[in-house]
Amino acid sequence: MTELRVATEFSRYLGGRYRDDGPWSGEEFREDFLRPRIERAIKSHGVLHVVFDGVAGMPTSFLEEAFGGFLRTPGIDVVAVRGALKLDADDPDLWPYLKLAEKFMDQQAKRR
Amino acid sequence: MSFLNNYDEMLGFIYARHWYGFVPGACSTHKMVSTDLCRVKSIELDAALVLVADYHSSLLIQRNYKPYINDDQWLPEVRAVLDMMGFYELVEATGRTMQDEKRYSSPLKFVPFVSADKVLGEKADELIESLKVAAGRTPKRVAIYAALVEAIKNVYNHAYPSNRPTTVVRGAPNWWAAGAYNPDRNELTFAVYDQGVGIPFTLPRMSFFQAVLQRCPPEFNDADVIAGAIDYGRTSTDMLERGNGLWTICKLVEELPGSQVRLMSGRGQVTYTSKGAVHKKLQANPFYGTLIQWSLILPKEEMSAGAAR
Repeated sequence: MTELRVATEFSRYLGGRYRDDGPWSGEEFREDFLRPRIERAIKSHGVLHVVFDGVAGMPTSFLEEAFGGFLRTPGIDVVAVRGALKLDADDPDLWPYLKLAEKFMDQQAKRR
Repeated sequence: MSFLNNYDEMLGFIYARHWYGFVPGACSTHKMVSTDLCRVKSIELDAALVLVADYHSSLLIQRNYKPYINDDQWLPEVRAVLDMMGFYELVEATGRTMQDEKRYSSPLKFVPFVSADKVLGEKADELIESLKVAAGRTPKRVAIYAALVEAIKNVYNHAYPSNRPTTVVRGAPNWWAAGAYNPDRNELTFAVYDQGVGIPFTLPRMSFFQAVLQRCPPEFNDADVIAGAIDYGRTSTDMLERGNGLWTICKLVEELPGSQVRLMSGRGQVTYTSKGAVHKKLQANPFYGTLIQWSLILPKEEMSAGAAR
């Protein structure tokens, strides 16, 4: 199991949807952090825990682009990604947003 | 001064400021234009934010220009509010005295405005931190951040299109945000404002607009369209598509009973309450840009000892 601590490795201040919106966007997180780490986890038959504790907040557009957007990637193995990705937080204030991110992924998976 | 209680007067004041401040030839020299608030008895967050944003926007497009103001005769409470919001960093004042703070202690704790032309979470967090200092704490901090960033993102994505009408004054394409804490009402108020084209201009260009129209009466107006867009986001089961932005902004108030959010854009004013009620109002004159103001009633059990005093 490997961890990706969003607040320390990426940013405390999650931003908008696209890179053009400004720094720390969902697109930036997905392409520069999430994708390479998940690919490594899948190759090693491991699980990537994405931990959100410490972030200032979790904007909806960020979550949709990062996680829903990841499953929109052409040719991606959805089952493998869902098996290798776990979203986590100890802070209960963040739990509704973890559920929302899961929902974005579920809905995108159904569309494929 | 308040857009809630004196909408037309406040709007007239802002339009007059633009006329003299931005229209070439409207005044022989810009330096002679001075804002007069002598007769203003009080100033609310919405009006103060729009005024501060207007000055800041002027400064962003006219670097090194600090407008002159004569505030000798302004009431101390008006000066105090504007001082707390950071207004005096933007102007050359004549009458501001360091004694104001001793002579007048505002019951409302306003916080300095923040502004940017991008979606910057740091700025949203800076505002929340200031509100935390003013109120003692900020319950629903994560949800407030999400609502603020969504509002800011809407500004960046939609408020300043390259094809915006020429009637819109070309100020800085920024967003501005500020807030206040009212200890008597245990109320946290904060707002995001932009000087863009407005929601009723933007929505018809969206792919989901037909679905919004289905929620509007046959002869719809700006308030109907804004309320329709909120309802579309609330009832839409397809969360992957666009159109959830206004609902994301509004649903924050459902978590705190007695709270509400007010959206002013175009001629429409829509208030969404914590009970899910929508109140629509059509103004005679269009608002300048978009203003979203949340008024959150903090739960008593979550008050800190410092804030409760």
